Amino acid sequence: MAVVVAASTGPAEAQTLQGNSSPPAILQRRPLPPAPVQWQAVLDRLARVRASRQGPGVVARLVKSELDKTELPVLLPREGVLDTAKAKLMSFGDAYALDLPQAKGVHITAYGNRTFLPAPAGAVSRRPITRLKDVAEDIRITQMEDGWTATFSRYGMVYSLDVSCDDAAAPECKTDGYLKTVITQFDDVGLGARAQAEAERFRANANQTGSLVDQLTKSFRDLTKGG
Amino acid sequence: MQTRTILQPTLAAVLFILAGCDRFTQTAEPSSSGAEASAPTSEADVSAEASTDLSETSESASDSASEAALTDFPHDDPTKLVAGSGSGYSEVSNWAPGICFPIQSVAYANSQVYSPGGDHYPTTSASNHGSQCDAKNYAYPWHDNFCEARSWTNPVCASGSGHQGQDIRPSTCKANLYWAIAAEDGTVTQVGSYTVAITGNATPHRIYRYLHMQKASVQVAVGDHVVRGQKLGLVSNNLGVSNGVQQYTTIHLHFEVRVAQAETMSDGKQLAANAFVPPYAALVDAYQRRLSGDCAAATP
Repeated sequence: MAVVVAASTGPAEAQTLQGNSSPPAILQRRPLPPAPVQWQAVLDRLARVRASRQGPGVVARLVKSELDKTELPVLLPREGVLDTAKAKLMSFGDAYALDLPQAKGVHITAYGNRTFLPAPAGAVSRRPITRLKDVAEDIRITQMEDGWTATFSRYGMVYSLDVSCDDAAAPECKTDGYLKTVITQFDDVGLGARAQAEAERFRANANQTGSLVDQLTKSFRDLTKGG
Repeated sequence: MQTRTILQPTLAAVLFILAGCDRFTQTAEPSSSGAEASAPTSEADVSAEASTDLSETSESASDSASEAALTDFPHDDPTKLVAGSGSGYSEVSNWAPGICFPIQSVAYANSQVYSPGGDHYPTTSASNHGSQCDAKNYAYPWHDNFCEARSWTNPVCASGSGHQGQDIRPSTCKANLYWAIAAEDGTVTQVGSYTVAITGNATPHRIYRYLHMQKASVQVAVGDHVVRGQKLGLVSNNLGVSNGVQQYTTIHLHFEVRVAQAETMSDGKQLAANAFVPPYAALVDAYQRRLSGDCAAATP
C-alpha cells in the first residue's frame, strides 16, 4: 500500500516494519457523471402499467416529499403479492432506497442509483446472469451472508433488490426462489415531481424534434414535386 | 506486511499500550468451537458489559477527513490473505475514501475462520481449533479477508466466489462493549436482526452494511439520518436465528461496502450493476486517520 505520511502532533519516532517492500498501488475511483435516464422507455412502461392496474398503485403510499425530490424512476411492485403497507422511500435525489418489510421478519430493500463508479474489466460482464420470464433485463443474483441480492440495469439506471430474513432458515432466504418472485413483481414505476419535470422536458424535446423532422420531410417532398 | 518508516505519535503509542493491556486483563473469555457460525457465547451472558460505556463521540462528516494526518500501524497489504484461506483478488482500489473507521475502538482486521477459534485454523486436533480470544486474534498486523473462501458469488475474487466484506475484531474479546459507528453521513436503509445498512448521502451513495451487532443495542431505525461517527450498535457475536434458535458467531463486525459500478465494454457501452467491493484499503486509510484522531476518539 502507498506509504503514508506524517503525524499531526508531537514529536514522532521512526519505526521500520519488516516485510514486503513493494506494496500495490491503490487506485482512487471518482464517480462518473450521472447516467441519463432513458425516458422514452419509462414513459412507455408507465403507459402500460397505468392501463393495466387498478387504482393508483404503490406510488400513492410513498411520502410525497421523498418521491418528489427523486430524479430517477422509482421501481415499485405491483399490488397484490408483496406487502406494501409499510413501504418507506428514502431519497438522495440521484439515488433512493425503498424499504418494504414483509411478514415473519422478511425484509425487502430496493435501491436505485444513477451515479456509477468506473469498474475494472470483467467486474460486471464476468458475473453470471439469470433470465426471468416477463423480465427483459439480465439479472445478476448473489447470495449474501444474510440473504440474497439481485442487481440489474433498467432505464439506464442501476437497481438492486435485497431479500434478508431474521430467521436464516426461512423459506424466503433458503434459496433465491423468493427473490426471483420479488423481481418479477417490480414492474411498476413511480415518478416524483423532479422526475416528471425531466420526463416532460424529454417529451417536449422529442415532440419538437419530431415536428422538425416532419417539416424537413414535407419540404423535401415539396422540392421533389417542384423538380 | 510492509517495509516502511512510520511516524508514530504519542496517541498511537498510547493506543497500542491500551490494546495490549486489555488483552491481558480481560477475564471473560467466551469459549468457542470456532467457525463464524458457531461461537457459543450468548448475548445475554455479556450484555451487561455494555453499561461500561465508551466516551461519547459523535463527530460529523463535516470534519474534513482529507485534512487529517495519517499514522501508520502494522498491516498486511490489500489482497494478501492468510495463506491457504482463499483465492484472493488482484485489483486494488480505495472504494470508500474518507470514511470513518466503523468501530469506535482499537480494532483488528483479520480472519474469523482461519485464525484461532475458527473452523479452518490448523491445529493438531480436528475438533480443537483454539479460542477466538487467543492473543493472536487481538494483535497487529491486520489481514485482508475479502475473497476468503466462501461459496457466495463474488466476481472480484479470482475464483468467482468468496467473502464479501472485511471482518474486524474490536479491542478485546468481549461482546456488546464496543460501538460500531457510521462510516459517513447517510440514511439507515435496512435494519435486520443482526444487520444494519446505511446509504451514504453523498454520491456515489455507497451502501455500508454492518453485521453481527447486538440486536438490543441497535440505536437506529430505517429512515434515520446518521452522521459520520454516530453510534449504531454494539459489536457482538449475533448471527440471528435459525429455526427459531439463536445463532452465534465470533465477536466481530462484518463490514461491507457496495457501490454501483459501470464497466465500459469494447463497443463503448457501459454495463452497470451493484457490487460488493473490497473495503480493506479504505479501512486501512480510515484507521490511519483514526490513530491520528480523525472522526472519533479511539478508546479501548
